[in-house]
Amino acid sequence: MSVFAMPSLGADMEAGTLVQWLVNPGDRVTRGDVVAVVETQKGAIEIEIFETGEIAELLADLGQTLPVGAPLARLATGEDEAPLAVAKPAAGPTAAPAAASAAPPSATEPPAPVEVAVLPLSAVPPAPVGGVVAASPAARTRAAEAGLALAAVSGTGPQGAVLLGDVERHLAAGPAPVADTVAAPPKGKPRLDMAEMRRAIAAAMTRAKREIPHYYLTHEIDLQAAQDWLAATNASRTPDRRLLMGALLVRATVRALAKAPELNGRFEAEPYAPSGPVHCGLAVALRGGGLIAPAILDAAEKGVEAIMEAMRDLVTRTRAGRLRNSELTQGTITISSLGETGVDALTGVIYPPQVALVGFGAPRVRPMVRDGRIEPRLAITVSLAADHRVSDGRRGAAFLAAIDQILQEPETL
Amino acid sequence: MSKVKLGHDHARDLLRGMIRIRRFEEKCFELYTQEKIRGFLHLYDGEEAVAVGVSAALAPRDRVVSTYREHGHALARGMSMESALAEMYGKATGCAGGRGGSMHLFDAETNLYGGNAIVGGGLPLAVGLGLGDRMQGQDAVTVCFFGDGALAEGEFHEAMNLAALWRLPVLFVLENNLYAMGSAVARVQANTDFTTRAAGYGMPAESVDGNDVVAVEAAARRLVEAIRAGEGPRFLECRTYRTRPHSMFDAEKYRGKAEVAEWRARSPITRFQGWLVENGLIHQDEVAAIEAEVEAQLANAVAACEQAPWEAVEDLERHVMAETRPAPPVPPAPGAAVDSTYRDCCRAAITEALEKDPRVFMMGEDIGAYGGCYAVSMGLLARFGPDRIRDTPLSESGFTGAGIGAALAGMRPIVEIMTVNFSLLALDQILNTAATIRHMSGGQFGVPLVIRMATGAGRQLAAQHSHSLESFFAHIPGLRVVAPATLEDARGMLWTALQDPDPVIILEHVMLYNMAGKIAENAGPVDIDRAVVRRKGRDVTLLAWSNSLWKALEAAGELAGEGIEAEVIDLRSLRPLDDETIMASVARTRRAVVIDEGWRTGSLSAEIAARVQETCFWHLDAPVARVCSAEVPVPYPRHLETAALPQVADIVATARALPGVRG
Repeated sequence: MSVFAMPSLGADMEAGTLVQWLVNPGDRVTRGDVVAVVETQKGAIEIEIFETGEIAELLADLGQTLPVGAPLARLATGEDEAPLAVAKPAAGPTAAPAAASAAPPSATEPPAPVEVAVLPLSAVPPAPVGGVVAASPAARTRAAEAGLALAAVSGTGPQGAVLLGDVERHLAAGPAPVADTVAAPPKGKPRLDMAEMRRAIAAAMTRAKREIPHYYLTHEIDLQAAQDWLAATNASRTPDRRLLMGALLVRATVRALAKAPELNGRFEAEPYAPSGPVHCGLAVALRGGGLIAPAILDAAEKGVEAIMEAMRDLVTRTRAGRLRNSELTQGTITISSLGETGVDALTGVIYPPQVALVGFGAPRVRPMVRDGRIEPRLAITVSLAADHRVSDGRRGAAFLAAIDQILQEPETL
Repeated sequence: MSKVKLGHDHARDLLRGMIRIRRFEEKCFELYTQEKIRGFLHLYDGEEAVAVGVSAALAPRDRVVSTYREHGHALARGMSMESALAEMYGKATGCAGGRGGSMHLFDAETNLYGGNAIVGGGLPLAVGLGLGDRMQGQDAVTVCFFGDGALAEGEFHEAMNLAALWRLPVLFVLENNLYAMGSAVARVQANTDFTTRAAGYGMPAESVDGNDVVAVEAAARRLVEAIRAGEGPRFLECRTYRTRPHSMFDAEKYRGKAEVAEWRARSPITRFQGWLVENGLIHQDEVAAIEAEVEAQLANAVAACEQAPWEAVEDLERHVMAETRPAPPVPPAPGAAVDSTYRDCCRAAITEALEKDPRVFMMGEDIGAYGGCYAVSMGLLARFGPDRIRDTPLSESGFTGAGIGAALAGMRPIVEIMTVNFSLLALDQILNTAATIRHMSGGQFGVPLVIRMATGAGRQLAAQHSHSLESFFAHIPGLRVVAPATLEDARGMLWTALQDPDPVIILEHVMLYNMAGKIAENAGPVDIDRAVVRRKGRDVTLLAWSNSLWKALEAAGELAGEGIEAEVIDLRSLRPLDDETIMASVARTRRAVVIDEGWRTGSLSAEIAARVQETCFWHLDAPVARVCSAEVPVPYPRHLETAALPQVADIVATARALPGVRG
């Protein structure tokens, strides 16, 4: 028996509101299944489960706002059939978490003879402190030693506090497994709290500028060959199947990472180790403001067609407010593209704990020198903001040069 | 011997003694107004004949215990003006290194035991000094000065009873200056015939004109001679008057100016000087010479004080405890194990101490003929006699203070207080004297005293015999506090405590006396400094002492059944705490539960929890938890008493609830 708890979906998430259960008691669930929809400051997010078993009991009611770590459901895993007592979270739209995790009463235990005298004051959970990850001092010390952001660790302590054991388990587990189950069709009615989102962006960007020593490179790329190839390819396609330049840029960037793999990863623990898979985040501007950077998971495995499809899906779901937690929490690099109508170039801020952000300005016809003559050609300025702790300018330059080179051979994409 | 032979030299010495005090006090007044002297300053003007007259009757080996108005006594006993004045300046050259100031003049050289500013508090001390001298066969006399205010204090009556009961060589000198601070004797004393107080204890008493130095000396000589002859204590009332306010900031609303003027006219100096000149026993020129000599000495003293150094701030904590103490004993390899009980071990320890060291004696309520409330001292009276197994009256402050005095006089007393709740009646002596005198006297006097107390609940003894007041004593700098939980510690801590140059309080839990077990037949002294890990563990540290140790060990056993490995530490020493052992364990287990039979608020467990977070914060994976007694006076009925105390189930539940304790 295990407990399915409100997951932490990002450095800035403290709580989420349960808006939909996608499972019922008795349902079999497999690791990676989407089981619920939770509304956060970044919109409604589909929550995956990381264990396989049978839903024994739903502990949280729709509409409840629960802190990270609060129990949502009990899952029979078949490993241990002893009942695991977990109190239902108190009712109410903004209920505080049950103190259950601090002192679970068990039916098999005799009652303590003197409750007044023995109830440790420390067992009463403290009031949540805005913006601060609850963590034990030992957990903080260990996380700092490992260079791990506490917000990345899901806590099992009172009020979801991160304990030493949580940090150790997180470090031992390495990157979290990726679920690729197709989400059930969204049913909930999403909504976004823009103020919350602004705060979240502020927190992440402040952390980036505080913790990450950025360096920046820019490079102008001749896009004419890619544009010509794109026009030829799309000529025979219906509009809904046409490729966009953005997909080519993403594909080229992902491929170029093979030349500079250290730019792909998450700096959560010393020593830094690059990520194997590429989960390529796309900064998606939202109507009405705000920004989300969900990731195309395993982007290196996807050809340009698959990338295009993933981008459409991601943008649609982002704007609908239906993203999955793995998409929000596992990005290893982010691409920010200003699109057709933007300015020439951007100098980005890395999304922590990633180590690089690639920025594309607006493609524009510019005078370029080709074979000694000035020609009007479609060009784009690509920029790299990278973490100087893990890479140097020379490697960054090689990476941008690789993007350029790939885009000169669009047929190989 | 007892007659005052008033030859020229002696008369001149008496006059000089009084003038010396008067001029000194006048200079103190002046220096106070110049802010050279601060704090409370109580001047002796008008009462000089008492100090000088009594001191004239004493030998250098005699001892003096005084009050906060003691400048005259110190000077009359031979303290230099510079030494006394520097003390008031707060300078390092003061008689107590500047630590005591005006109210606390101490001088080992002249046997001056303060300068005690708790009214009445000096009396039990004097009893103890007399007891120590008597037990060691010394013929010294202890003089205890006190004011009329002390007559209403319980400690006065306790001390008078003890001194008379044991026929101790103590001269009680009442300086009746008609006012206890601003309270006229008639306002606060039911019976102003004070010699009858002594009569109540069968103690011979005299009353003299305290402004007549010859009369005072004559009376003191008579009484001291009787005391030295072994006739027991004596009481001397000296009727006098202080002609200055009680202290510097006193508007004297409680008495009229005419009354003060009338007494000024009867000043002991004016009277004696006039009488001497009138009868041709001294020439006016000689008086002028004395004045000039005293003035010159004072001027030198002031100049010296102005230039004297301050004690270094780094030495602030010097003399709280002795600077050297014996190395902890090294126990021998344990011999064959024999059956014993905690009570037997306590008794064996006392027996060993009495056998090995003739300075050791034990006193307390019902320890002799009765055999001890908890039968610890059963049989010892017959073996060691009533001098060394000394039954006391029910007067905790009196006999605790007597223990302090005897320790100061060179004995190694073991004071037994029947129940820790009763120790509150002795708290003045424990805190204000035993724990304080070393520092207050600038390291001149230490108190190698052991106080054993029965403590704790569990015997259905209800709210005045059951409490755990460890935190009260552990709060006090200058004390050591230990809590033996095992047979070995019951057997071994006493001897080590008796070797310590500072007061040690041994807390024996009433639930442990019957505890039976095996102990090595050659078990002996153990250290009284270190906490001991009684059970190793990985997940949480249970910090306990005394009877709670056994509950903690039982809880650790239960927790082990659930896969939680608890480490159990027996603190043993509650002051000072063995931080090293505690922190090493908690830093490793990252969790701590303190088990304390005291009330939670302001408890020793609170102190320990605070220290753990101060030292181990970044190693902690859970808040420090506590299991304490309910905040109620311990109730009588079994089920409520049980409910009020920390129990094994409470410890288990608290440890189990710690975040992360299950790994």
